[in-house]
Amino acid sequence: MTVPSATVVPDERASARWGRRAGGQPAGGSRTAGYFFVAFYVVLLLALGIAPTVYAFALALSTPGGLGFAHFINTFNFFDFAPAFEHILEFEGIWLVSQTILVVILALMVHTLVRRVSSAFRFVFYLPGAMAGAASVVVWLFMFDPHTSPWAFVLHGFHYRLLANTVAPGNLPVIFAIMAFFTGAGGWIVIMYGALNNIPRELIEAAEIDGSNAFQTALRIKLPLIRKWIVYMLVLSFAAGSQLFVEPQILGVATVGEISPQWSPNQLAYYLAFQLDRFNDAAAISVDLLVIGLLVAVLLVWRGRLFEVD
Amino acid sequence: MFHTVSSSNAPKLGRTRGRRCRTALITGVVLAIAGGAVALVGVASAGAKVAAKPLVVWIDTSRVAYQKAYMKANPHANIKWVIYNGNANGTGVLQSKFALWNRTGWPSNAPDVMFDTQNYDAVQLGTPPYNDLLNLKSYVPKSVLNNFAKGSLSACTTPTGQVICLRNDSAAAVLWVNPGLYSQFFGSAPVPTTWQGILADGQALNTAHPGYLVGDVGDAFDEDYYLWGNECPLNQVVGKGTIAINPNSSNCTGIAKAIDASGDMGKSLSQTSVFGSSFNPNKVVMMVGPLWYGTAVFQTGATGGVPNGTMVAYPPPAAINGAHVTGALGGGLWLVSKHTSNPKAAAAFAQYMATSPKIQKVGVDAGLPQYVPDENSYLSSLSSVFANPSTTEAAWKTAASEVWTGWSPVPWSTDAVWGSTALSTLTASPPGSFAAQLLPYAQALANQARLAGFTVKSPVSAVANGS
Repeated sequence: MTVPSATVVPDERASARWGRRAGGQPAGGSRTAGYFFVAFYVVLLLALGIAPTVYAFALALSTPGGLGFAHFINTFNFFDFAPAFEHILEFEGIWLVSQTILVVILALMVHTLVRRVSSAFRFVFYLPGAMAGAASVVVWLFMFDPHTSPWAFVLHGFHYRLLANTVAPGNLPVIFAIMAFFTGAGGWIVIMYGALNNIPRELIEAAEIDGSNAFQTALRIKLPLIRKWIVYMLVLSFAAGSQLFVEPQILGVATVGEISPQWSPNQLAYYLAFQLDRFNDAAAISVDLLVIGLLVAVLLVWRGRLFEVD
Repeated sequence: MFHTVSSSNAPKLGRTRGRRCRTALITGVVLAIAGGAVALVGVASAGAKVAAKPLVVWIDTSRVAYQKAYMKANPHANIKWVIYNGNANGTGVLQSKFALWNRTGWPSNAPDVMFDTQNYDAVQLGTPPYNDLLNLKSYVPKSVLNNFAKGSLSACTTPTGQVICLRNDSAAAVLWVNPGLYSQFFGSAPVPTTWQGILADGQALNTAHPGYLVGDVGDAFDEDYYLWGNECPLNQVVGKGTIAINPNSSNCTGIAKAIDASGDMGKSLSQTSVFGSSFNPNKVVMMVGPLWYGTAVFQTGATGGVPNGTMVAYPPPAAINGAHVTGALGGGLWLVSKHTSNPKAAAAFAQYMATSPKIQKVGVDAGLPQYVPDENSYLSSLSSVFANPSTTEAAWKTAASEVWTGWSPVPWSTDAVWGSTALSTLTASPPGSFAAQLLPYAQALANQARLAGFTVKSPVSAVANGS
């Protein structure tokens, strides 16, 4: 089904506040201001984004005999190279699918609730996200240890009696997906809610007058209108997920080595650089990760028509 | 953020498809970079400026007692003490710092002297590509070096004969016994002297007194007792950059099959980590473990632990093949940086810490001093902690001299590999086969060796050629 032509009508009040002229072109003065503000970001991007990337490429491509792909071939043949990428692929598959489905469903549900109730729900969803990274791993350690977990009866249902049983190698992608979901989902629900709020009231009212029930409105009106935000979530989440590091690293330390220090590609790169002093090989793996992230981002942006004007 | 949505939709300019693709590409780059987490390795902040440059010393928390003893004996010493994790469990703090500093230059607050709990670190950090440790041969008198226990400096000696660390203490494995429980269950029978004897006692407990323990299979470092302590050749450096790995050796299969046949795993061999929250030291009838288990694992004198005067150390069990050898776990090394601005003072400090009776008598948590002249005064301080201290003393000395030297210091953690290959099977209920872990463990060790640039020699083709 096609969505009515004007998907998102520019909010007139917002336009007035931001000094837009009727045609949507920014005024001359605000354009200069725009460059000025963006300049700060550009400086940081150059220093902390572009420069390290260039350095990584330089390290990865420089071989004793000049420029070449020796480090890429080298690392590709490492015994832990393929398993590390398989682990990440499995983790991303579980995480991205479950996050996308649940976040969208929850955001749509919250959006249909009365404002007061919905803000309480959004707050509750967001709470687990307050514990990110290392802090969340420590909390999850307690949750996954059948001796300390409040959900011990669930773990016992799987015949897990020890932390070592819960974090057995086959369970790790699921475990990291659960951690990542609770850390990130709340934030994305808030963002999706914002996107849903941006849908003009008239559009939803029109649909209701035409006899659309809440379910139909959510599925046929709201969902297509936040499609770009879902793509945006996938792009960012995929890049972040492919660079999984903190969770397996800390869980590995906490279980005194039950998780291989080369479980994820990023860990493998870290191990090569900082345990074996092989920075060039580590850089090659970093470049692999960057290229994969870029390809997926470009694919999603292109197929998801993220920058197209409807 | 919501006006972003409207502004991106607002300008209805007839863009060309090419431009749109380019925008998509650039945005993709930006998003991918922004989404990526950048791990920054923190560098300790510079110390306060003082007239003379202080000696920077890195220790772990267990060595704070040493710091106090040192400052009491030398109140005016100009030393900056920094606490770090002691490189514990292969976390590689020193490796990562050294690798960075070798690329960026060594900062003035880099450590001059370090305490390291990983026995394999010294050779790795003291040889290429690191090469960052001072050769103490030219700084520590030969008479002092000769007073270290026989073989205790083997992990401190590079293939070219440099002495790049001083051994602080022995962490040889002994047989810890709770004599009260033992006589309750086994009467006046002598304490086992072999692995077979321990496993047989375990079988007796499995049925008669379930819940009581003769050992543990729930930790990543257990292979240090079962395999190292049985002369199992899975970690034997046989030449420069060459390692021999043979999981089919009867020294490996002998103990593994004995454990499987006993049926003790999950019963009298605990699947819970000895540091786990549900591990009860009062249920341990006996357990093979390093000297420092005596206080650390049995928590002697602490709440929930065994009371003072409970545990006694007996000599480590003879290997399945009859040899009197044992494994080890931990202990500590004193390392001196090659990049120190005052090598003489730094080496003298390391020597003082490793040999002075003022330091080496401190803390029962640490193992037996490896500087032999300090041993007797150290042992005399144990009488209030363990029952039958003379037996314990003798057992410690025996164990310290029996550590099998065929388990070499290598630049990877054999414990971490055991943890990630075998632990989940051994801790499952019901537990899998111990013997079935030998091949995958050997293969994983071989892979680690190849990753570190070693050549692997093995009669097993799957190990020698990689999987």
